[in-house]
Amino acid sequence: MHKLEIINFGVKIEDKQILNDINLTINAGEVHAIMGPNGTGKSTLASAIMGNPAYEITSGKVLLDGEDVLEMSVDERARAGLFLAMQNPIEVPGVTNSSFMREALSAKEGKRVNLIEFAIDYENKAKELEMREDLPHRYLNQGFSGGEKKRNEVLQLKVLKPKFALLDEIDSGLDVDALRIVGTNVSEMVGPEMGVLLITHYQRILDYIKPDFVHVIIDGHIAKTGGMEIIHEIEENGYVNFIGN
Amino acid sequence: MKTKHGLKANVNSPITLDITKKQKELVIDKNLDKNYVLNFTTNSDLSIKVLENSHVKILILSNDKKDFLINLDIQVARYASVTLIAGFLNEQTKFTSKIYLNEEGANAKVNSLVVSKNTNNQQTYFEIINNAPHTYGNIDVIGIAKDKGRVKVDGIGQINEGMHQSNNFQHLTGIISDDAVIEMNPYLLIDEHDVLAGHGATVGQIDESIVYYMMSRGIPEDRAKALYIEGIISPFVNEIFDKDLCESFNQKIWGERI
Repeated sequence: MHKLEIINFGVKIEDKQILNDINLTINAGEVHAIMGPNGTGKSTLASAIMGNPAYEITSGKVLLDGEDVLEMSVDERARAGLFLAMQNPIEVPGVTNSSFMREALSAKEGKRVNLIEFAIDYENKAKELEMREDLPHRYLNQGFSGGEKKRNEVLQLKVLKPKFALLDEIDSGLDVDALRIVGTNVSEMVGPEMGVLLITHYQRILDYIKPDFVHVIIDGHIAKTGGMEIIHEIEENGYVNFIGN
Repeated sequence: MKTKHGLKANVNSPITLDITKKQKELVIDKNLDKNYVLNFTTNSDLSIKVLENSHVKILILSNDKKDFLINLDIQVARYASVTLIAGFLNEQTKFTSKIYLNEEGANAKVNSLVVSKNTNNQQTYFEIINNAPHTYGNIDVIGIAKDKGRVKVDGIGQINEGMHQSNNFQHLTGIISDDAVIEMNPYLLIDEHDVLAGHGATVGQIDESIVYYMMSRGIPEDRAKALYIEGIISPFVNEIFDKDLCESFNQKIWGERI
């Protein structure tokens, strides 16, 4: 059973401390939802775990199956089993979606993956996400709508099959049908081989990706941990009752 | 010496011409649809005439030459089009091309890649002159410089007075690293109101946010940067219509790890 342990984790950007003393353990098969007001450090948590060079780690450890990922480069973290679905996926001109994903999968598997097998698997997974047929030949995220970019992140997730998926507002920019498709596809992956850290502002994605735990981050620390009752509290009263915890 | 090409050969098989010092002029006959590879065996001045209603692509690659000093002058006639595809990887280049759109409906595109590494020095000059109404020009140049290499690209679009309903665009892109120098100079010289024209130049280092995104999918940093460069130069590489030349050009690029 895979385990991601975040221990006394502190992060700053430039001179500003963003996260303090974050402690969180995620097991494969679990979904942990992270909620909180804007600017409290939710995305920073996911980006810092992935190794975004903009952030400086000030304290703590992040262990993936006992291995300290903070000692790894970004690509090593990905190959070890971390995946960050980004809030704003980057556009890459001149590199097609399919060639990029084949490159990434080959890097993960340590060998050049068979083109035909890859193409069939890639197209099938794209169909499951109801994506356009010309997707493989389009340049990576270039000219994509916001919703297409988010679906493309989930397609990459499905191809790479990480141990832990860090989903940073994967629901933003999605219409109701796209939300259902994305939510269902992610939910089907949760199991003995994958756990999820899901950052969101809205309850609606949690109708599809059911959280086992809900954490509220306020001012860079976890102010409250619980279950679905926290979602209902936020829906009714916002974050006012969590401030000062 | 003057050569006239009027063979209506298969459009899919490019014609390779060795250009010697003696060769001063190349005339491409009317109503042709052909691809040409110009293999300059020595530094040269060459004038090319593309006659009425012909559509040609001209490929020039300098990858196996130490010094490459070429002056090219291309005259384009009524409803003819020319696409100049020019790649420079050698130690020293001085390349000048001037394309004159002399009659109505004439069209020219320039697609070039200029790479400089070590202490190499590449100087290129691309000009398209609208000399008739309803003529169309476009220049796209990608410059890449690393180590102590130097790249200079001058792009000039000139629309003369009275050449209404014409257009002339250019975009120059530069990627720089290490102690290299890139100079991108886009110029527009417009003497007519009823036209469309635009120019732009961007010079920057490899976009680290793209490299990070690729690495976050497990691709090692070196390969991510190479993939990024492949993406940048793909509009040029995809234009190389000769398969063998394309392959050797690619090998030259990646064999020396730009």
